Amino acid sequence: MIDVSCFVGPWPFRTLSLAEPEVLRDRLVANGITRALVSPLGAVLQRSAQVANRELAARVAGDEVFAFVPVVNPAQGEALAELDAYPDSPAVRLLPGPHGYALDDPAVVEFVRAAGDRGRTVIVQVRMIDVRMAHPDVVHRELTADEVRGLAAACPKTSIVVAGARPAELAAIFAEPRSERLWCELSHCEQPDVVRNLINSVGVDRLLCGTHAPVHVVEALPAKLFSADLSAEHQEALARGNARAAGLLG
Amino acid sequence: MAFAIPEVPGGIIDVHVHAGQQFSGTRHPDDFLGDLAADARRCGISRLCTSVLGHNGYTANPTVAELDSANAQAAAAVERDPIYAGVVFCSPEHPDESVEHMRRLIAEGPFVGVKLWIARKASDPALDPIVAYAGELGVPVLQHAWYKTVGQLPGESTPADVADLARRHPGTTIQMAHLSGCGERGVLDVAPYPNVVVDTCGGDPESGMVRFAIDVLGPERVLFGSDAPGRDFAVQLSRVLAEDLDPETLNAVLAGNARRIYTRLGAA
Repeated sequence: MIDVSCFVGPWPFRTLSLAEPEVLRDRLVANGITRALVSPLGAVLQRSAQVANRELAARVAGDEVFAFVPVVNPAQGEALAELDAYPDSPAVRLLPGPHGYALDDPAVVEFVRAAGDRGRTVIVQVRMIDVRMAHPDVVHRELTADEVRGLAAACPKTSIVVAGARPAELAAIFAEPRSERLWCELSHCEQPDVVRNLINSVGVDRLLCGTHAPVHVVEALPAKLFSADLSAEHQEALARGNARAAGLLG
Repeated sequence: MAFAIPEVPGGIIDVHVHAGQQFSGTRHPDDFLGDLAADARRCGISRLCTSVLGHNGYTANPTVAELDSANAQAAAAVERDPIYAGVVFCSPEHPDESVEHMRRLIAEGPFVGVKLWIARKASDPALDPIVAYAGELGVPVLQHAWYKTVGQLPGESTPADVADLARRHPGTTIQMAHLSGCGERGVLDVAPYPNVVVDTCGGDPESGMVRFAIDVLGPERVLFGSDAPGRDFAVQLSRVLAEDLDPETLNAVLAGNARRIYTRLGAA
């Protein structure tokens, strides 16, 4: 199973038992995850993500489970250089809420198009945590469905993965007409029958597995799939096939 | 996919369910209770302690008629399937009527507990007749609580309010809802009051909160709750299973503590 939305590192708001990559890797593997796209959790709050990227990239280099995904702020200069610094990364992650930019910023659109031209998938994070539980001084803006749709429409050749969205947001983001190169992951979707309902609203070919570990428990992903009781064909699509189509296997 | 349901003697007990809260995506809109019970049984859950907080969505300040309707729905669930154990929805804005519901449904009926939501904060003395009567009946009071950074509602209790309630009623067991919503601070607020237990639900499946609560309160004061159908049984179970608890602690959290605190569950 491919986890397309995972992080590594400590989290300033809460002590995480899986903050160390070795511990996290063991837990992922124990839960059936053979490959995890990981970004540095430290990049969420650091003013410049570059240092956190370098540290994590060095730490997971050559790892058979972890695939490094840099965090880039397209509103800052040298964003493309940061992307090009990691040519083996299948994707790049954007954190517009914590990093304080809009998806319709021309620099962002230009960056996402350029990432697509380089064959990179762009993971767009709608939220990191439930704002009700945020630190009072650190309440990040959550993306709207309209701005995510707008970015996808402006960059039709770029594969985009929507991460951290709720089911109702995904239904709005994937409403027709929609980009052919748009996917989403499940980490923030939870209620009875949520996967079955997302198959109906989003399409089985657009759903990817994501844990949002180590902030969320890894076990929530297999639990969600257990609840979904998928056919073997759908299970394979969510676990691997769709990640391959989204260009996330490198 | 690697997700194993633990074997718990007698089955898992979910102490936080709202069986009347139908949502739009249910498989059988005309048999929502059947879907919910089937999902629970698939996860090894044998009892669902369920309240109903309103017909179309949750009712923050229910009228007497809305309390009647909500508790009638809960009674219908209990009648429909033995997996459902009824929890009386009460309002401190209608204490006499609430106590009457408790008399009819608990003292003379099959219900097993009391639910208080957000009509008044738990620190408000208006709750006292309800909570005192729950103590007389020997049933727990499930009190909603949350420390919200944004969106705290006017009558919504914080764990500090729950601690105040527990201090006023040391003879009543208070089940503080929403462990993740209450956070570490909330657990510490109620730690000095042995008559407060916490349930494990509340928001996304954040890591570490169940372990923190067990370490601070002891394993005997933490109970599995899902908040279904707002949340998913298996995912909420996963936040407990992720903590690698020893078998004795796991059984206590998933069922043993509920059997001890919900004293009328065996007879329901």
